[in-house]
Amino acid sequence: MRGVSIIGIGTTPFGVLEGLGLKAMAIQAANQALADAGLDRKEIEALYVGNFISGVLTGQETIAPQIGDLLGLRKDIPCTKVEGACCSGGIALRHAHSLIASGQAQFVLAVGVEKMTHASTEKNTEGLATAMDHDSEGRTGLTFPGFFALVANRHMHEFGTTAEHLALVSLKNHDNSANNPRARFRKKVAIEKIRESKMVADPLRLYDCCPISDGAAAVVLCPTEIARRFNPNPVEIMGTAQSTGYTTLYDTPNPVTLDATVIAGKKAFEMAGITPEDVDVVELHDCFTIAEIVDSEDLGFFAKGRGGFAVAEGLTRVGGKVPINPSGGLISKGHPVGATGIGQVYEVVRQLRGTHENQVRDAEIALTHNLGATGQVVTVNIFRRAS
Amino acid sequence: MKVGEMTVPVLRCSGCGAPAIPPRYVCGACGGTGFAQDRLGAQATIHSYTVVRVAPEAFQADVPYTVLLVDLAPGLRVTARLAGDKGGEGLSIGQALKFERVDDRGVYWFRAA
Repeated sequence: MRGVSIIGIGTTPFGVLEGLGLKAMAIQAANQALADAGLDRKEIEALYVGNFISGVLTGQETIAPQIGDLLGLRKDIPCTKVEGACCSGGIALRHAHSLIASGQAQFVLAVGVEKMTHASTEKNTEGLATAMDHDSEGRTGLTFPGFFALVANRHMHEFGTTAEHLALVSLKNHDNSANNPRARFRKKVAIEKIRESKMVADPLRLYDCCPISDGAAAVVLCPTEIARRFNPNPVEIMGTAQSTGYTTLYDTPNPVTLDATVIAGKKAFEMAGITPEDVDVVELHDCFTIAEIVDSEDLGFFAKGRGGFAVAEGLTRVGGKVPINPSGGLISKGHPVGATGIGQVYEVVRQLRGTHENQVRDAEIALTHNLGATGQVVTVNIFRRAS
Repeated sequence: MKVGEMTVPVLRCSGCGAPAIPPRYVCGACGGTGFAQDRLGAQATIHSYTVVRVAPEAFQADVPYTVLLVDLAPGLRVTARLAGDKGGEGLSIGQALKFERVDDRGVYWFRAA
C-alpha cells in the first residue's frame, strides 16, 4: 500500500441554503476542492459520493453519475454513491483512499452531500428513521434522540454523568461555531437557554440534538509521493478504518459503549502507529451531546465514564488537553447527514494547514470519527500534516 | 418452570439452545441457522428508559411514550414499550417489570411490576 494525501478541499457553508439544490451544492464544493488542488478535472479517475437520503427527501437517486457528468469529469471513470446513513461521507473517503493506496488510481474525488431543510420536520424525521432496523427496534417508536437518550440514562446511572455535563458539551460547541463561517449557528448560547430548552427524549433536550442542515464538502486525494506538486501543505492519511456495529441497542453488549467506534479507533491507531495521546485535534460524531461524551471515551481519549467530567474540566476546549469539535461539531456547525464525514475532514485539514478560525496551536495530527445510524457503521481517520 | 413465573416468547437456537429476540437469522452464539419458537423464564428489569416527546408521524398519537431497554437474562435484552404509561413517571433503572404481551407488529410490552 502506498501513502495517500489530501491536496484539495472545498465546502459549502452548512445550514439553510435556500435555492441551492443537492447537485448544485456538490458541484460547488467539488469545484472548490479541484481549484484548491490546482488539478484539471479531467485528471480525476474516480468519484465517490457520500449521501444518505436524497431519494426520500428530494426524490433524486443515481446522483453520483449525475454529479460526475454535470461536473465535467471524464466518461471512462466510475462515479459511485456510497451510503451508511450519517457515516456516508466517511465511507466515501475510505473508498477513495483504497483506490489510490492499492495503485488503481492517482487522483480521486470524494464528495459528501445532503439537502434537508426544504423538507418538513416530519419528512426529515421519517427519512432519518429509515436507518433504524424496521424489523425490530424501529417498530417500538424508538427515535434517534430516543436511542441516544437510552444510552445517556444508562451512562448517567453507571458513571454519574449529569445533565449539566450534556449542557456543557452544547455550550462548548456553540462557542466554537460562533467563529466558524461555515457553521449553521453563529451565535453563542447562554447555558440557561440550553438547560431550559424543550425536552425531546428524556434526558435529551433540543440543544442536546444536532440540527438538520443542507451542505456539501469535497476533497481531492492523490499518492503522497506526488502530493507536493499540487499543494505545499499536503495532509497525509496515516490511518483509516471502517467497522460494523450492532443493528439494535438490545444486541449492543454494553449500551454505554458503541463497539464499532472502539474497533475502528483501535484499527486506525494501529495503522497510524500512534496512540490517542499523540492526537492534537479531533472532529467526532456529536449527533447528540451524549454521543460526544461516549465517543471521546470509546476512542480512548478518556477512561470510560470520565467523558462528561472531562468536558466540565474544560479538557475538550481549544487549548485543552484534547480539543474536540473546534468546528462546532454536528451540534452547532450542523449535520447535513451525507456531507458530515467529509465536512469533518475539511475542518481538520484547515487545522493541519494552520488556517482554522479556531486554530489548535501547532496541530500536527488530527482524527475524524464518523458514526452511522445506531452505531451500525463507523469510520475513523487519522491525518498528519506533511513535515 | 415454576407456576406463576413469568415467561417471555423468544426464538431458541436449534443448535446450541441460546435464546434470541426475533427476528434472528444466524445464532450469535454458535452460528446456527435453525430456530424454534419458545418461551423463556425471565426476570425483567429496566436497563435504561426514555420518554419520547418528539416522534415520527406513525407514533404521534402516542406522545409522550416510554421506550424501555429491558434486561431479560444474562446476555439477553429487548427494546420494548411500557404498558400503562404515565409519561414515564416513577420509573427507575433496575426496577422490576412484568411482561405484558408481544403485539401484532412484534413489539414487546412490559408493565411496571
